[in-house]
Amino acid sequence: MPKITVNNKEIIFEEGMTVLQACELAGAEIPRFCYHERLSIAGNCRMCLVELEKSSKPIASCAMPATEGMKIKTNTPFVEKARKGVMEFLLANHPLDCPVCDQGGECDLQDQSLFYGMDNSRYTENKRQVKEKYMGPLIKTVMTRCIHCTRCVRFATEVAGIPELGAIGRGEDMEITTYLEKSMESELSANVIDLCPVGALTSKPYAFEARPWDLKKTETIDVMDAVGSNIRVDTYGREVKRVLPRVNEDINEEWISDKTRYSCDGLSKQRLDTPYIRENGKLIKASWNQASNLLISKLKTFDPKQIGGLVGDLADLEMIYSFKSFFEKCIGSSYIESRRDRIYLNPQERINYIFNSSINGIEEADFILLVGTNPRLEATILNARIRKAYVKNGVKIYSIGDPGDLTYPYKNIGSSTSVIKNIVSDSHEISGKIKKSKKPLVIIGESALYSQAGQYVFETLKSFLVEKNFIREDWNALNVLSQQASRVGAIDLGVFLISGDDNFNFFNMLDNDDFKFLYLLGADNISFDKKDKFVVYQGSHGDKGAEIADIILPGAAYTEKNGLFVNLEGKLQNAYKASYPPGDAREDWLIFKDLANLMKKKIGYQNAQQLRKLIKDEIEKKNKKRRY
Amino acid sequence: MKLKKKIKKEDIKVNKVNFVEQNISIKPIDYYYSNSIARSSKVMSECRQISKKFLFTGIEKAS
Repeated sequence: MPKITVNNKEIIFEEGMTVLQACELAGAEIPRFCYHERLSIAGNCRMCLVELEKSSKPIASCAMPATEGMKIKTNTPFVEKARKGVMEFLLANHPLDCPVCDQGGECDLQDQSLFYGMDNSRYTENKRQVKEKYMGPLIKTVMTRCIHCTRCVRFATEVAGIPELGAIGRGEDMEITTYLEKSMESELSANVIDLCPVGALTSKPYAFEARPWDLKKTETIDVMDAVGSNIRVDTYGREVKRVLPRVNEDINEEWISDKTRYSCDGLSKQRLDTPYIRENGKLIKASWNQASNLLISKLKTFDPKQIGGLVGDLADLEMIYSFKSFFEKCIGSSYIESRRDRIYLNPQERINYIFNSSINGIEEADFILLVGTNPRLEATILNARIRKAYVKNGVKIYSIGDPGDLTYPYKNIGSSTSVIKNIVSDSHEISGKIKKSKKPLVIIGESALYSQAGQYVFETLKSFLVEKNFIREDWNALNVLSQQASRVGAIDLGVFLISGDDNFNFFNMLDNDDFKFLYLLGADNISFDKKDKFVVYQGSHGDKGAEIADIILPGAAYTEKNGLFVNLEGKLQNAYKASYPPGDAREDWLIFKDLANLMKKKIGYQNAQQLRKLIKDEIEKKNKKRRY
Repeated sequence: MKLKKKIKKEDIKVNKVNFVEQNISIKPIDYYYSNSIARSSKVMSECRQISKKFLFTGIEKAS
C-alpha cells in the first residue's frame, strides 16, 4: 500500500485517492468550495491549496492525485497565506450582505472567511453585478453571490441527468444560468441549494422564513414515496419550515426529491383539526365524544361482513397495526386492505414484495430490466441510483413499457406480456444477455402487476430468475417497486385481503357493493362508487377521503408522531415526532385505543411501548411462517 | 429484528401461471399531487403547473 506524509505524519492511502482525501485520512481538515465527494473534480476554487515538498507553488489538493512518498503540509504560514489570497479574490466580488442572506449561519464562505478572511478589503473597484436568473419556483437566485464553484452544474449534469444548467462567459464575466432561463426540469433540482456553498442558490419557498439557529431540528424519515429517504425536519413552533436530507449511504446518499423537500407547506394547509359529522348532507364540527359515539352506534347496525377498511399511503406501522387490531378484536371483521388498486400480490414469501437487490445493490448490477415502471416518478432517489450505475459502469438498461425520459438511455423492447414470454423461453434478443450477466436486476413496477396479467408477469419472471440462479444467497435479482410508504409494512403485518385464487377480493367486494360501512385510514387515493355506504375517514388532511366521509376523525401527519416505516427494500426505520398535531387532532393509535375502550373491548395495548412490542412480535410471527 | 433468511434455490416457491396476453402500459403519475400532503401544498401546485407547461408547450415555445 502506498504511503504519504501529511504534517510529518505518515499514513497509508488507497490507490486513486487525491491529496485532499489523503489529508482527510490523516485528520487534516482542508477548506474547500468546489470539491464534493459525490461530484467530479473541478479544481476551480483553489481554496484547498496545500504545500508539497519540492514544489515552488502551492497545489490544489482536490485535483492532485496522491502518490507514493509525497510530503504534504497543510498548516504552514505558506499555506495560510495562499488560502488568504484565494479568499481575498473570492470576497472581492462577493457582496457583504450576510445579514440579509438566507445562507447566513450555514454558509461555507462565511465559515471559511472567519479563518482566512481579512478585516478590510484592498479592492476599491465596484463589485461585479450579475442579473438574477429564473430557475423555477423552488430555487431563488442571487447570482452576484456566486463564486463559480460549479457544484450545481456538475450535480445537474452528473447526478440529476439534466443538462439544463451551465456556465457562460469567462473569468469575472462567468455566469451560471439555465439555458433559455427556464426552470430546472428535474425532480432532484433543489439539491443544488444544499450543494451551493454560498447564498447564490437558496430555497425560494423558505426565503426569509427563519434563521437556522432558531429552528428545532428532528431527524426522521420521508413518506412521499416508498424509498424512506432520511430527512431532517426543521420546525419553528409547530410549523414545519423546511425539510433537508440526511446522509444515508444505503438509501438516499445525501439527496432528496423536490417533493420530499417542498411538500412540507402542505402540513399546515387543509388540515383536519376537529372531528366532523355529516348531517343533512353537510359536514358539521363535532366533539370527539359525538363522533366516536356515532361511529360506534353505526358499527353496531352492520354485520361485520359488511364492514371493510382501507389503509392509506402514508400510514406507519403503529397506525396499521392498531387499525388491524381494532378491526379484528373490536369489530370482528378481517376485511382490510392496504393496496389502493388491483395490484397483484404474492405474500407467501417476503422476497415477493420487496426490492431485494437493495438500493445500494443497483450500483453492482450489470444488466437492468424495467418492467412496467417509471422509476423517475415512482421512486426518484432510486432512479438516481440507476443513473449512477449507468454513469459509473455503463450498465445496459432495457424497459418493457414506455416510461419516457428517465435521465439515462434505455432500450424499449416492447409493451406486451408476450415480450416476457419470449424472454423466458430464450427466444428474445435479451435472453442471452440476462443469462450472461452476473448480477442482473429486474424491477417490476405496479403497472406491470396491475390486473389479471400481473400474476403472469410476476410469477413467470420469478420462476425464470430462480431457474437461472439469479435468486441466490449473494444476489437476488427480483425486485418489486412499491410506490407507497405504507405498502411493505402493511403487507408485513398481513393487511391484505386475498382469498384462494381471488387476489383482489377486497376490490371485488367493493365493486359488488358488499361493504355497507367503509373505514378509510388516510386512504385518499381510491376511487369507488359510494352509493349508500357509510364512510368514516380518519386522517390528517381534508382531501378526497374526507370529501365523501360521513364521519371525519382528525389524525396526526407523519411529522407529528413517532412511527415505524418499512421501506421498499424491507428496511425498518424510525420516524420521530417533530411537531404536534393541530387542534383536536390525535395520533391514530390513540384514537383506536379510545374507540375500543368506548366499545368495552380489549385492543391489546395501552401505550406506545406495548404497541411497538406487539408490532415486532406480529412481524416476527408472520416472518416465521414464510420461508423467505 | 432479523427478517432476512438464507436463500436455498430448491426452497423458493415457484408458481406456474398460464400466459395472459395484455399490454403493459405504464400508468401516468401525477407526481406532484400523489398524496394528500402534496395536494395541499402550494409549492407542489406551482411545480405541477410548470411541469405541465413544460410537457405540453415548453419545448415548442423554446424553439
